[in-house]
Amino acid sequence: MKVALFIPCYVNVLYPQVGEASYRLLRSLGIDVDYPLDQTCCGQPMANAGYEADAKPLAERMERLFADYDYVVGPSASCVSFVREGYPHLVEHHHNDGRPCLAERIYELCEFIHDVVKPEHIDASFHHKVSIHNSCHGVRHLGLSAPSELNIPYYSKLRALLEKVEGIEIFEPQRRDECCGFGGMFAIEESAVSGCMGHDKVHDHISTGAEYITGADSSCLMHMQGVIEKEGLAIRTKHIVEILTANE
Amino acid sequence: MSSHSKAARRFVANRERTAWHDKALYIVRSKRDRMAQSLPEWEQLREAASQIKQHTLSHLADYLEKFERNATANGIVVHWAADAAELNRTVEDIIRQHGGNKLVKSKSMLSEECELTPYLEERGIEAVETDLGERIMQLMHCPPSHIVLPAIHVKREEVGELFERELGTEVGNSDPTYLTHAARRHLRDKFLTADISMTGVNFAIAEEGAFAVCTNEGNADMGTSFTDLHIAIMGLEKVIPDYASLGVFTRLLARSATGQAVTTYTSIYRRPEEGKQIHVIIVDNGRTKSLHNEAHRNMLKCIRCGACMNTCPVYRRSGGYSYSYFIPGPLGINLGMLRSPEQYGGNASGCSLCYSCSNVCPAKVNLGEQIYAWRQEMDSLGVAAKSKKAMVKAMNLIMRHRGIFYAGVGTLPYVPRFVYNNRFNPWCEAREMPHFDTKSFNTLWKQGKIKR
Amino acid sequence: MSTREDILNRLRNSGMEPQPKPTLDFERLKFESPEEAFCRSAELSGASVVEWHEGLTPEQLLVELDVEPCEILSALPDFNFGRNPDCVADYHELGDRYTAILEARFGVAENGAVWLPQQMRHKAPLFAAERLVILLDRTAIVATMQDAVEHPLFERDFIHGCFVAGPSKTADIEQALVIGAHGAMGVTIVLK
Repeated sequence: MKVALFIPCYVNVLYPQVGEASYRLLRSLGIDVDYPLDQTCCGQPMANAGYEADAKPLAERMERLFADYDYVVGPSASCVSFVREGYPHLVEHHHNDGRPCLAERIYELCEFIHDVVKPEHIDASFHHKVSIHNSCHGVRHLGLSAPSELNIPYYSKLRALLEKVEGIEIFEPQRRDECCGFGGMFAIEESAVSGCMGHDKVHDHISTGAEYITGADSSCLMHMQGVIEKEGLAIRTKHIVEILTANE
Repeated sequence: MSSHSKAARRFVANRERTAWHDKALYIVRSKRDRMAQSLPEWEQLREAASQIKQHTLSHLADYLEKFERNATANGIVVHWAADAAELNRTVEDIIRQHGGNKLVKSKSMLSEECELTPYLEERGIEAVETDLGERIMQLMHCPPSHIVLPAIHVKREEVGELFERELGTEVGNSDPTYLTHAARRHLRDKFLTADISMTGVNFAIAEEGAFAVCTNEGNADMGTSFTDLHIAIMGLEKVIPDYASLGVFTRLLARSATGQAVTTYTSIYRRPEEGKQIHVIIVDNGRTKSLHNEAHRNMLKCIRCGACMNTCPVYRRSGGYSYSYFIPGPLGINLGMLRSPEQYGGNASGCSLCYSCSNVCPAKVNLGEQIYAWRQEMDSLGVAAKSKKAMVKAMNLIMRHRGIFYAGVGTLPYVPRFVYNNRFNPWCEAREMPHFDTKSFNTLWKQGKIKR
Repeated sequence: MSTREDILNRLRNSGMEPQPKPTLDFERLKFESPEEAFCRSAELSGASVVEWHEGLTPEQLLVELDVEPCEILSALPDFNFGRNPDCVADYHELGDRYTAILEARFGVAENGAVWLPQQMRHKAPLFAAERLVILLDRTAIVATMQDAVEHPLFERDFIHGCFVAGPSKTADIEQALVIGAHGAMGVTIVLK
């Protein structure tokens, strides 16, 4: 199977180590993975702000970039959920070699490993306490874990993968999937409420006793890291893929 | 900045109070969760409620006619009102024909929507709110800040001071039990001397020509017990087919609203007592227009439980008054947009698109998805924020051209941090900017620095 | 055109495809002991539940419940000690210091509610009484509200009927639960 890495714009620019770890993790699991060059943005920020039409050329560009791959895998739940939910009504379906449209081939990285690769073992060790950040789109759109509102049995794909890491201690905040207040343009337009939500969320993570906040969404982590630095708090953020490839 | 953003900033400025408000509402959400978890068929109930509402909405004219026919046969007088003005006039006419000028009201969002109380007061009819929270707000001369918990933003000390002034309670006593019982005595007197009672309608049962009113306090029933004239007002989406449907909704309503298994009183009004009258007024006031709006007609499934407010992380931290529509939270954002995007478009920013509201809704109204959909319509409706539009257009230009994007990105590590990490950047109000000190993944890949 | 026709016409032209009525055939909550579940739920709703032990006369029951016979308002033949609500000329004059004794048709285990179709000429005492004592046949307990509306004793022809779950309550001041907002300050369910 041909697998492509989807490295969203802000991860590409700000967190290349997340891209690098994603690549390394997939390779270590025996996946033949490629990175189509010059990726930019999936269009989610424009769409969430109310400009889906502006996301259309970006969506078409994404369809072209990833036309030749069986699976497209990205370390950002929110971007993946936008492609999956938004693209079907944004773009004409590109049927390349009989492949379905991108929405049906794209996976969030943990989801892909958990649901498709299903490894018995992950070669990583991380002797630290981590608190899982269940991001909204990851939970409520991609189903990475059971949403706290629904009466369905608890599960968490993130936890299931983290449990394979040697030495790790896993926690979840009390409000296990409350929004951290990032929300794309929301963070700017409603900066007061967004900041308050970020503060509350980080403190909920801190009260677990964890040293790290980890999750599948760099955007939430970026927002929370900003709060942590501003307030000088004793916790750090780390993308889950960095933990799944760690040796410490 | 949007109207919601501005008002929310004022609320959040008092961090302590914001935390208190957030916590009080999250406790209600947690109680709701426990109730949802206690019923194995919870998700099937939600699906059933949604389907019953969908079915009813698609046959609304038939069900309303059926309700009217059966209610009339039971001796209930049914009226129709196209809008707020006609509702208010109709209420006034019914009162004038009956006589009396003292009205006791139980909580009705429809009466807030139609500004019925001020209309009646201006015409010499005393309209007393009898739900404790509503009464507190009425005495404070403020609107409710939540549809189920009207005074959720008010502290006990404030109620204590209010009751000292208005009801003559002990100075400095802010014990909730003491204050509630003082209100009980005060309102008992109102009930016993009232001429007319008014209630809302939670569910109008078409098959039976009856309607259900749900309260915890018993205020609706006290009102209708001691007056000869009962006026019930209902939005036309309140009709449900039959008792089997009522069975489903009464299992969901209180569990979703306050985390109780059922409201203390689920009263079904079927016939007037001897010598008494019941009038039901069926109100449109924009609802037929909403039904025509395919993208947003789902809002008519709402049973007004308030669960979407309790779970909304933005509502909990911005308070009911940060929304310009009289109903706050995810529900209010949507209903305000249906009412008038020009007037209420400033609320649409008050959502981080976390979609928790869609998950708690007992009738599976997709509130979050609809807010997303409204945002897509705002530019063409001419109510989008200009600054946001400019930002999106600029971002779009950059992202569409990989050359510009990567050239720009390449320069970022050389820009001194103070240029963007400063108080003029709204991002930095609550957070530090991320660090632009590395090469992009794209560049590293091109340079062969990603270990293959 | 009248408002009524106008509204109905607009509803008929909504363009909404007819949607089917759901069958509601999913499995409902069941209890091994509906009676036990009812007692738990009723207590959660703030009511107290007592048993009417065999051999106990109504008078003795009232002593156990700490109810003065003269404070009673009841139309039940067994409890004809105080006033009969149907003989009260003006129920506005009843005051509020009385205990109404009523008989429920059935109870609902999932929430502790009892079904009380109007049994008196006026429903006022059900809500205005300081205390309610409600008799309930322990074999007449259904599991859920969905079962309740299907119960043969959920009769179709009544003036007013009420599912009552515990005493009147409110939490409108800082979410602090207070019993006795407007209606009964106390509810005692007597299982027969």
